Amino acid sequence: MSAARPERWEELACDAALVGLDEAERAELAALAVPDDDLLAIELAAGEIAAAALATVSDDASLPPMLGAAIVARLGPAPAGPPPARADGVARRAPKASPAWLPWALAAAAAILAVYGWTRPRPEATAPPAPSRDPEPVASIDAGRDTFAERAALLARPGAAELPWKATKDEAAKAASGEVVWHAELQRGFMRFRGLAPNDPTKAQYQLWIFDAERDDAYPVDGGVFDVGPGGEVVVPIEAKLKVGRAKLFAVTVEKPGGVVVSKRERIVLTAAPSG
Amino acid sequence: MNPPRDTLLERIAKGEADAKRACVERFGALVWSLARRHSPTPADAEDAVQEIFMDLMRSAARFDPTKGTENGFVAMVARRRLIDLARRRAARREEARKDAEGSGTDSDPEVAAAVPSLPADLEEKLDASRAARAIAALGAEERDVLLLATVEGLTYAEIAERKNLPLGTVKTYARRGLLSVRARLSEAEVRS
Repeated sequence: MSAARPERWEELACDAALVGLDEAERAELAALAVPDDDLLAIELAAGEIAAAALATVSDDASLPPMLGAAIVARLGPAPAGPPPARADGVARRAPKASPAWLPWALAAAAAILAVYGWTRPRPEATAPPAPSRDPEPVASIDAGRDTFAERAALLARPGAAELPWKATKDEAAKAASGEVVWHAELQRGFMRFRGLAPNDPTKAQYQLWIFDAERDDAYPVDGGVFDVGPGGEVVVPIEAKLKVGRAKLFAVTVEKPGGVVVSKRERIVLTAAPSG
Repeated sequence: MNPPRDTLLERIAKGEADAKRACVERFGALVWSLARRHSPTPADAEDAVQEIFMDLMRSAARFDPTKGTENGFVAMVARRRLIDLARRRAARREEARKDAEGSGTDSDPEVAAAVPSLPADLEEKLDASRAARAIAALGAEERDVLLLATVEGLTYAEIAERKNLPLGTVKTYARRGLLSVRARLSEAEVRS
């Protein structure tokens, strides 16, 4: 360690580790050409202090389990799903004729409550949005994949449910319509959109959320991030990051590039619930 | 003799399938504690935690068990992201303040998330780790200032206000304290 007065690079390195630097300070530190290891040692010391001090605090600081599960889901690859449904020779089935609608109908009341609860602004949602970060891999429309045929095939399978989108007052949904197809047993689904406003993926992306009657409504299952380009009808596969027990509501939000783990619910664009 | 087992961060760097989940389980509380203290709202803390774990996955390969502990490395990565987020928020607040001055309206103040304070008898509670010994060896003022910056995420100006100290004194305490801890950790590293 230096004598009573630290060298300039040490002052800057300490400030960087403790409170961060502004642009001019960063440039000054860079110009001093300090070896990375020396800077890292100071930053690591700050980390060691924080970790040691927090080890003394006995409080309820555990990561909320649903938030932890959502993060794990986003960190790892999506769970391997069942093989894709085949379109060959399978006729489209009228969804309302299916007994699979029964649980959906039973979930309707809960879904309405969920819509109400979820669309209410959260008290903490008034803070400015977090800055964008490096985009993570997203579910997007795969040009080489016939999602229209896959969707039709899935819809034709017993147990599939089709739910129409209901547009909110969000500008992006002004002319939007379409529906969700979801198969609970196969854990597969597709979203079809017509007229949903195209997004600029560098500024914002759409994200699907699936509310599960068997999970806390505060942490709906991330259904994947996707983009909509200019043009007519699009079909987007659902990429549920966790197993969905009993879907009671699907909601599409507009989020920062790469999506989020927990939506601030500032822009809800479309919802679909069994009650229609 | 069995070779030493890889640390969790080393397992992540090697791409082991179950290491990511284990990482969230083991370090979730530490990251969450820091995020709550450094974030103005619970929603901001939730976003921050996600970004921190993404950062950890990317930087796990840089962890060197001869230089520090896994907890210290995780806290370092977390604090780096949290400081960055805080500075961006401050910049936006400043922009909003300027806009508000122009329009004659006040911007909304941020509401700090309620989190437990560090114990008053922290010195007694610190364990026998190298970092704990280094903290315990600091003078009381240096230690307080350093903990307010590293754990509570306060800026120098905020610490000066809370401790009723001149800003320059706060900077001196913080820098001197941190350099002292770094030196003690380096000595311990050499001895080991």
